Amino acid sequence: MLGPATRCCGTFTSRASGFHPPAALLVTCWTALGEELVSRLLHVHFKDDKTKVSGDALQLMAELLKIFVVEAAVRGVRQAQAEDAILVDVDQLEKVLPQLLLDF
Amino acid sequence: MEEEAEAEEQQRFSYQQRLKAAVHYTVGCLCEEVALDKEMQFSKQTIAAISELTFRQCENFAKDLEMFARHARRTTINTEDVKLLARRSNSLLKYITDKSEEIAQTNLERKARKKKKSENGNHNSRELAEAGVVESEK
Repeated sequence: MLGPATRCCGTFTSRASGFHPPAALLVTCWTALGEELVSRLLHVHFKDDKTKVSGDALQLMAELLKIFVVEAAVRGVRQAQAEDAILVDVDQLEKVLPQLLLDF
Repeated sequence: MEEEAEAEEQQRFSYQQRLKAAVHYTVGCLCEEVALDKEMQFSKQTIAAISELTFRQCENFAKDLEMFARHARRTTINTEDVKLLARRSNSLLKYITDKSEEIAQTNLERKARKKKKSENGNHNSRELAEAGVVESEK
């Protein structure tokens, strides 16, 4: 873990013209995916035992994974709102999945 | 001999299960934050699905990262490899690149502070004695 959980406000948004980012969001972010967990998650799938991950890369990966989860969640919410649904169910998640996986 | 292999397989399986559980918990926390922020609830199945998705995506990420590092003839994955992972979406790439600079900056500052601290520690007792003199001189 990166010491005490640091809380900050961040926006994942884009100003790229032509490309409309599906989710501009304001989220209280914290290194929820602890570094040790991320390290273990990666090492489980490495083919070579000698493969290592630098500290900075680990922090960045924790950030990337957090973004992945939050994007999935927020896009699910958008879909549910568009459908006037009362909650985000698997049906809504299924619809946002293709684009999510293409973006990652 | 076969028993040993089976036991090892069992161990690996239960280890993966524990990792999945940890991911599930974290995903739950993150979704809870989003739910509060957007005032929209998530069904349990959705949380489970996102959690499963994240775990599987980790496998892709890990393998890609390993390949990128090997392609660059390295055994240690660095931030350049991670940035390459985020290439598919422009906004994602920009975000990750900015984050990477932020992380590098923070770590640099932390190292500088640590170095200063250890240097100060050596002169601590002397400083305490001199502090009094300096104060009065001011």
